[in-house]
Amino acid sequence: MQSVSTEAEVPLAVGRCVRTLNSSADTRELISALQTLSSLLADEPGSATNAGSSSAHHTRALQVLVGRINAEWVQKLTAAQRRDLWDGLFLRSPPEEALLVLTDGLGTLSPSAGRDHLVHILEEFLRSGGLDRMLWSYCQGKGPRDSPQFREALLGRLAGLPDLAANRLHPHNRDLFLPERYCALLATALLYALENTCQALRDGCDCSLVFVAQVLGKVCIHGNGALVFGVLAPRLSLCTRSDVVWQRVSWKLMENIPEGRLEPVVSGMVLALSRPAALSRVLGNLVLKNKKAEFLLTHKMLLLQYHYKTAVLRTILGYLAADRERRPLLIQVLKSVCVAWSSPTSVRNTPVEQQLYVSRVLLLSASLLRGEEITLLRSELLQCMLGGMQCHLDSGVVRLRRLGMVVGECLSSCLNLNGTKLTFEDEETEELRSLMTPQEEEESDPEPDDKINSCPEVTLPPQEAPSQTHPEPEKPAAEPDSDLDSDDDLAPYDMSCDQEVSQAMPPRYLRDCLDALMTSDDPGQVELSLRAAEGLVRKNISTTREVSVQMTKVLLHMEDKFSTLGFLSLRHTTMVALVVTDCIPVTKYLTTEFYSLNYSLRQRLDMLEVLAMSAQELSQPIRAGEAPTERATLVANVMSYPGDDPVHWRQIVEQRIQGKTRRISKGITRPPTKVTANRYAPVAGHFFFPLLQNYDRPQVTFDLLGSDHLVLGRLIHTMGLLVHLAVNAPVAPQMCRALLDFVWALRYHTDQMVRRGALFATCSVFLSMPSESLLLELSEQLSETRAWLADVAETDPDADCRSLAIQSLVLLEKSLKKQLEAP
Amino acid sequence: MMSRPSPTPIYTLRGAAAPLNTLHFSCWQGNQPLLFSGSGKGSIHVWNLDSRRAERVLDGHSGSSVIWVSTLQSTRALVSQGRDMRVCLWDLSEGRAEVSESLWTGSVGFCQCSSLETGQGTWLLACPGEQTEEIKIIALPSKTLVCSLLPKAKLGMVMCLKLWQVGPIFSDMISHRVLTKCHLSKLSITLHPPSPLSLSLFSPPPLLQSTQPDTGPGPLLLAGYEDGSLLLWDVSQRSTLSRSTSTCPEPLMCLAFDPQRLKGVSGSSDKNLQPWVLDENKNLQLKDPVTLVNPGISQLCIRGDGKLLASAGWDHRVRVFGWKKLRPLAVLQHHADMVLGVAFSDHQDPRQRLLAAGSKDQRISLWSIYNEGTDTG
Repeated sequence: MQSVSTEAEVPLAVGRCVRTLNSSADTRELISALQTLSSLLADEPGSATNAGSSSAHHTRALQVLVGRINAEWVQKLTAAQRRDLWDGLFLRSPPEEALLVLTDGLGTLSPSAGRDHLVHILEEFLRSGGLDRMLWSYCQGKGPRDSPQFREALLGRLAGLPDLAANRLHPHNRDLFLPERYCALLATALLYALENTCQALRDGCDCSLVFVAQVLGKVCIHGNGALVFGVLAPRLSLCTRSDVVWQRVSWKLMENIPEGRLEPVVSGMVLALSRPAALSRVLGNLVLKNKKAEFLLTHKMLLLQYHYKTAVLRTILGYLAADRERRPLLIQVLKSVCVAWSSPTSVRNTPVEQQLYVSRVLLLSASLLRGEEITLLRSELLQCMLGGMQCHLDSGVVRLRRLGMVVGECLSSCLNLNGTKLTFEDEETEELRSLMTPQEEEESDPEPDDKINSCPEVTLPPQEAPSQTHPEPEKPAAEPDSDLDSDDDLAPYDMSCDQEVSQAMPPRYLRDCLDALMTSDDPGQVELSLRAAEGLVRKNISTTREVSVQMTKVLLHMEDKFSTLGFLSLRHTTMVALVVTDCIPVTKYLTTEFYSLNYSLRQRLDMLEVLAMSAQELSQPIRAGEAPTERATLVANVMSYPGDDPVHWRQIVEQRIQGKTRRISKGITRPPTKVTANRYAPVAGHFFFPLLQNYDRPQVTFDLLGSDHLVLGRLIHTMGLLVHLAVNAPVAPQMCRALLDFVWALRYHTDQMVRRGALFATCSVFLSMPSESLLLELSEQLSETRAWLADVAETDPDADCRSLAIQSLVLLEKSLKKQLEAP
Repeated sequence: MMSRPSPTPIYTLRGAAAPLNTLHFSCWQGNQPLLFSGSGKGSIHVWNLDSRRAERVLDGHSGSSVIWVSTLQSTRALVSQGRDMRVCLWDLSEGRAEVSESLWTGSVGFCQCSSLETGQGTWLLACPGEQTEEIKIIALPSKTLVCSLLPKAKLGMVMCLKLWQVGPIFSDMISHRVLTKCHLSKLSITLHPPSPLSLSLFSPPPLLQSTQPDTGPGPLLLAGYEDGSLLLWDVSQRSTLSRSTSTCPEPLMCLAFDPQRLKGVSGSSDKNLQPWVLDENKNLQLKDPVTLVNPGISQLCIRGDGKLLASAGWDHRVRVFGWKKLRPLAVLQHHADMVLGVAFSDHQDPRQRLLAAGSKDQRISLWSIYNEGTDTG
């Protein structure tokens, strides 16, 4: 066709072509229309004067093309025609238009050959650097003067392309549209734009980073931040290291991120950069200029979101500490962390993990303080340390108490106080303590993309053979008479019996043993008596019955005067032996003493522990051969309370579930198990009910429902255990009922140990309660209990409580189902 | 590899009715192997190892504890030392049982004497003297006092002694390592115990030549003291040759010395067994100690073939070590009280060799250990 010379005629000519394309069926006419169109539009991008109108007819033309893509004549085009005329129209038109129209088409077209063609064009568009061109044109300010709606749509398409492609093309999605590939492509496009910007700035041209920043923000808010920053951040860190222009560009980029999208961008950047110095270079003083960034970096990431790794915390705090202008923020962080750490409510109501996280922040920021700052903050730190330690030590959770002590220790050493020196060999505390030693800040740090950090090979010195058995290691055979001088021809005998000997003799009679325990001041004698006591108790049953209560009293009040090895376990096993041998009087004694005056917490806990251990031993059937070893493992099992080790109840539950699972096995049939009487069932009541009698009667030295919640937690746990062990006993339903009533009062106790105990008790109630009497006995409580459990499972801050509640619910459902299905 | 179970005694000798302080075998010659034991009640039992009965009971120390018994190879005479401050020489030949000689030492301590035969019928006795640190060297049978050795420094009581003679071969400071095994075995027989053949080599007795020290080596004396130090005396010079710096503050309870390897070991009331060597300049050099499980060693004894070392422990156990490297080999557990003395027998046939242990529980246990497949070495 004829060429169009004046610009005013362009829209008319385009309109004519478009009409032809829309309506005509004549292939030749159509091809010539296409040719005209491409020659018309090819000239356009150069003339930026009327960009708005040109984009309008570009859009129209491209939309028509996409609309006709399935038309018959399109398929008839030769490959060359198609590439030049059809695809070329897309690739040569302004990239933002092409992208919008193509993604529109992708969204609307149903699977067809035409759509495959469209996908192909889109791939070609991305491969040929469409994104690079688009971003750079926006940087130069050559982009179309667009409306906010258009900009938002474009950003949406840019960021959402992987999702769109995945949704529409599944299962024929292309590799290029996968998030990993696409984000890498986008990141290189961003880098290309930034690099060009730097170059332009050096050449004295102005550029705008608004669009690039918007794209970055949009991608991050779509959740692909990590992928983009994986490519972007190392490069940025490397470029900004020596180049001031790059630094300025990077700061400008961060400042231009829209307010609403700042958070994912900044947190993504923090995660992707592992060094405070790199973060400093990339972010600049963003934290001072932008309130949102300040909130994020000084509060949200440090105090509220407690899932970041320690390295991230190091990066953030190091960033805050690195610059003189930012240091006031570090002080501010330290102050607010101090408040959070030492607040009793937060200690009580936040999960342990968050406590640990806050402690990390506290120690890290304290370690970054300088001498003069420490003197300024001294009183505040001291107050935080003392108050915080107190409320941590008040807690019933072992981990929290330990946390309090270690943090206190570290802080006191930081303050140069001559405070308590505590040492723990815990893995966690080791980690915490290491936070106080500042990370060596080598500026020549190998950047991730430079090379892989090769760890130096550590060669351990060869372990020396223990000198006890081989006093002189064999010399090399170089000596002329080494064969003469060796003792090798003499094979040693077994020397395992060569043990330390003690001087005194163990007592042979129970009364002697008791006397020694009561009066002896000789450490050796006391130790031997303690060691012999359990055996004597178990062997001499009739004598034991005579002295059982007296001996229990002696053992209960015994103190570890000589730091005897294994004192606690020896004492416990002996007391257990006493309970087992002479059950009713000793349990009566222990259960009444539990509520009487003038016992220490330790003694009360001991009583509970002994009761639980003996109940466990009694409930085990006696088998001639394996009794002793089995008992040892049992002791180990009962020793741990759920607060110390939540695995324990799980094991029990697991065993119960295993026990209830019916397996159809092919192997040899086992011999029928020998039936033995359960020794615990007749006496279970003696263990259980006296403990329930007096719990609400506060005494001068013992206030179970008040401050002594540690004992309360253990009490309720012990009772749960007692009920669990009483499974199948006739008295079990009564016990369950009583325990559930007791638990009801403690449902929402403030201490998590008590709550755990209550939930454990509920678990064991549902395990022990025969399903036929469940509805009969507990009908009115069941719905309330279920509501409570569901509530706990959702809202409790303690993870163990939540999982225990879920476990209870599952057990309850199972039991109910069994009952309802029963004929 | 499973190690062999701990050995058991082949038999025990009972009936001494008192703690057994010291043991001595006499199986080298004669038709009957004998074991002498000295008890805490002053009697010396002569045990026949064939009948395993006490053949005779000698009572010459008027009820005072006997702390040392030994025999002289040349005259077959029995020497005993008691806490009545006397050393007695017994004539046991032809069924007699009488004290032929008696010597007053004046020592109130527990230190055992040490004897060294210098010729046919002549011998030297080293015994603790009246003063706490004094050692007397007495020539017998003339009973003349050769010298009295007093250390310059304050070392406390003498605790243990070992008198020995540097052989002519070692006097040249030729290390025995140069010698072949066959040489060594021949030589060791000629040296220990001295046979009439070797006597010609040793004569004239070196003591009388104390004015001419160059002509021959004099007898040397190892002595352990209360403060834990160990001294090497040159008897003919009456001077200290070497003193080991005391590594342990505990008194040295006992020592054993192997004159062939110039190597010894000492035990004390703590857990350590302290080996040492005598270097070419006659300096005592301490080696790394071996730590035992329980503290207290009352006596140490090296087997004649230089393969085993036995220790009598306060923990009722006898420990057996390989002598060369002090590798622990066995722990002999039988006694119900402190083991006070150990001795290896001097049987000519190495397969018959025995280890005897005497204990405070009034019994002697006899063990046959590491006798299988050994040559005369």
